[in-house]
Amino acid sequence: MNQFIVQTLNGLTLAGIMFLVSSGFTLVFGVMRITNLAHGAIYLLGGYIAYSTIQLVGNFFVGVIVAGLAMALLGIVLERTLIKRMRGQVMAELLATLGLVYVMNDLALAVWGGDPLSLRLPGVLRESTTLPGGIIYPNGRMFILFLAVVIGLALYFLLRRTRVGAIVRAGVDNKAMVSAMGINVRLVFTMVFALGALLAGVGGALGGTVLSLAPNADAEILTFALIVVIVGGLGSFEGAVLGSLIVGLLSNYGQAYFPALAYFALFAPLVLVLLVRPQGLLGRTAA
Amino acid sequence: MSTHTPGAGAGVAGWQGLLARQQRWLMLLIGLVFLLIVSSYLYRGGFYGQLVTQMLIFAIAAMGVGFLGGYGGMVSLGQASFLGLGAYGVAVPMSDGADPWTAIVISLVVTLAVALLTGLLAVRVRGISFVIMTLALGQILFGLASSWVDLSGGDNGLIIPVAPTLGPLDLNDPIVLSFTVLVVFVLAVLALRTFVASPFGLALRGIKSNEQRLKTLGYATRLHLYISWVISVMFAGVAGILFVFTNGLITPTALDFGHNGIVTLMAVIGGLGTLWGPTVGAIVIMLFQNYLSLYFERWATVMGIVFVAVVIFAPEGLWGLVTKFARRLTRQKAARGQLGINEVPVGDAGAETESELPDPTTEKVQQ
Amino acid sequence: MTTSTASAVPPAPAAADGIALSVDDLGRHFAGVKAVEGVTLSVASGSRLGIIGPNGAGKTTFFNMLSGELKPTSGRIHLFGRDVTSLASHKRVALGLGRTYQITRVLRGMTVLENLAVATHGLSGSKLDLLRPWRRYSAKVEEAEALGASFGLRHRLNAYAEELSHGEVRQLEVCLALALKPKILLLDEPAAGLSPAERVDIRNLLNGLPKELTLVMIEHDMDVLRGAVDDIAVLHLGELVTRGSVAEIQRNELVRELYLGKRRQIDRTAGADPADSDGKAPHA
Repeated sequence: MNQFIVQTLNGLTLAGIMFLVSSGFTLVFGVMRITNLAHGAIYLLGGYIAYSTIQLVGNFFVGVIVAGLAMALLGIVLERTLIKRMRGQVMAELLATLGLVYVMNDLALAVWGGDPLSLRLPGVLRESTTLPGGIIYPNGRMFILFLAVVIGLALYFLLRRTRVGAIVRAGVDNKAMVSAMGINVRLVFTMVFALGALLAGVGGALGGTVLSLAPNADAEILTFALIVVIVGGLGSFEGAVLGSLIVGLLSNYGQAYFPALAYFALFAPLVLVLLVRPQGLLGRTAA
Repeated sequence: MSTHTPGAGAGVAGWQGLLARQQRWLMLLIGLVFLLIVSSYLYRGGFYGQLVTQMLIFAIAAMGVGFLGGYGGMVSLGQASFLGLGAYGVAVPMSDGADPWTAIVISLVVTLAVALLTGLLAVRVRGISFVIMTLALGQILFGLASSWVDLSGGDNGLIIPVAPTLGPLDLNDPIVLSFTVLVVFVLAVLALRTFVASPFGLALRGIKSNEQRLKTLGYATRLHLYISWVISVMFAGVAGILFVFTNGLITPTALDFGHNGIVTLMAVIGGLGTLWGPTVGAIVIMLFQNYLSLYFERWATVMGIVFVAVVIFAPEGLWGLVTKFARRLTRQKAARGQLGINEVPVGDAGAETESELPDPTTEKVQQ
Repeated sequence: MTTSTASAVPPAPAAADGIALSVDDLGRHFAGVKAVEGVTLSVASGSRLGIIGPNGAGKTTFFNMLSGELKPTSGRIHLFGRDVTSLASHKRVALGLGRTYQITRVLRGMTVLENLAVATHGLSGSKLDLLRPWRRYSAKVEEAEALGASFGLRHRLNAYAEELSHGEVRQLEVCLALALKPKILLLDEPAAGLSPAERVDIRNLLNGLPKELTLVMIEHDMDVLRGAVDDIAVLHLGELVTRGSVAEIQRNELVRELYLGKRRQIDRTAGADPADSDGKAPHA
């Protein structure tokens, strides 16, 4: 039973990381209709930058923040130079971001090499706590879960309770209306893309403490994010939350109890959702 | 543009008309020269012989992407994983002691079964969701290959000790094997050409243009897309069988996201919806991977940049550009009717069509 | 079934003789907005019904439900006595239903002949043939060519759909629907956006349709409707307001007030009305 609770907590931690990555992905898709296949590469780059920053400064939190900001900056540059050239051509945007994956991964390989790296948590986060019931659980994982929840709540507040959020949500519902309101849609798009990249970068920094940073880690996290958004519903924030929980838990139980067939644990929700509700559990538009 | 007088279609005078009428022969000539060059490389063997063999194999897989994406409008990002499925389909039974021919049959059956099953999912989504779904499917196959160690050998992969013999032909001879690959490649080209020119292929282009319209013209469009999906996957499966025998080895890496992307890049760089595009794309990208990489370590960066440039500046792809240029050269609509389908790129380049059409259903269909 | 007052039309029986199409209490809501509400009418085989109504009256939504592209939220649809309410589009086509679109949906990227060939294969098993070139189906190709030729596209068969003029696109649109030899044809504003000369072409085309073909046509232009239809049904805010002969509708005070008075002037200048496009609900 304790083992099961530990696995559940592990699944929740994984879900937290998945949420950080997939919420950025789904936000960008929801507002801009862009399928950013480089999202995983941004995650990985964020993790690497956090690693180097921590090496340099010696502070984990500075590393996380630098990673997030650096990726947000990268997001702004990409949006302003590349994405805007293909505005509205959904398939071209998708394919262009696929090209970016190769560029970013190759450059990351040149700088950080191919060996797996992982981030070390500072001080007390490296220790473990005995939970009620005698379960010993690492503080670091609880911290990641806590951070994911905090960021999730902040995002929810941003989307539901602020003017910026209202604009973004209106953009999801009706782009023409947002333009008609005299809002600078270009700026909103750039900011949303930057926010998506920031979330991926932070996800990479946090994820790097639990999962290893190495070539192909980007594809793995991208797959998780994609399955999360298919299950939850493309473009839906709440869908990203729900999808992350489902996929994170199932994936972790799969890893723990049926390691050889863990990937079937991902396949099952994907198949079910596509058969029963192709638009995703909380997706709006019918397929 | 629309100042056509009666009778203009009957006889187009001048060298342009001649060129247009001779286009079929021109294509045949180009095809023969291509075969000749390829054969000379294959006959010499060695590094370049192997490289050309691999180009042909990946071209077959990319043709599958080009068929479904260019004619059916559904771009797959899981093709390398299906190639891997075909390869493991051979490798797994052979490592259990099956003889090569049995293994090939098992591989085809398994790939077909997976294609039939995944097709049920594939036809339920369109556009972006389809791309994402194929990527996810591909990653799941990759994950199975790397983590189902008992079956797949894990990250070490599986080694194929021996290739089949076909009467007097011993495919363990690399040159014989290479020419076998060439034969399969030619068959694949002919099959694709046949499919595209058939009423089925015509309807597929119609579905890409406007699926809803095809429904109100009496087509069960999902059935067409389902069959196309199965064909596309089988192209990958056959390529996988050739891949495992030519390499003697299959590892999960061949199924990963990077390779999935590369096969799709081949089809897109060459030109979706063209007969020769995927082959051109396979040649270009494998030159990057295997030739440029000898001289320049950061070849993947260059490849990525080139790909982004093609998407932005030449969305019809390299072969699409060639045919567009050829069409401009023989610019008269009257000749179009006589051209084989392969010489005419399918309207707008595959990647762009969806978003350019001022069709109110576009948004709905993509979801 | 050419009763003159609509509100009194009784619900049509499921299998009536000589009835091509009947709808019973048909409704469609979009997120609370009633696009179509409680429409009951029937169309006798071989008769021709015009549908008019101001912008947002639900005409195209009504058509989309008839052709199966949109599921009704209430009511039933019968086609030749058969309940088709939940039947897929392509199966209704097989029963003999054809339609055109206000926003034309010809197949871009394909030639006129290819467009027509797709249509001529639509109801035959040959549409699944992967091996024989479609150009070798000479009967089908000839059929496609003849169809194009008989509606003014003889010299445009090898032109790409996107190269056609607006009027030619409308003609191709009708040809596509006719290629399936429908028994009932739904025409959605066949004359929208056409020049006066092109309108004449469309009227000739309509007059040239086989007499036994049942026709339901959305059209604003009374000049096109006059002579082309027997009956007119008036939709307003998703509801059937009245139904009667062309002359009756033109005399009807309510209709004049609702529709004709202002509409005829607008129609002269505007042509197509984007607000009522392809069945999307007027989102609030």
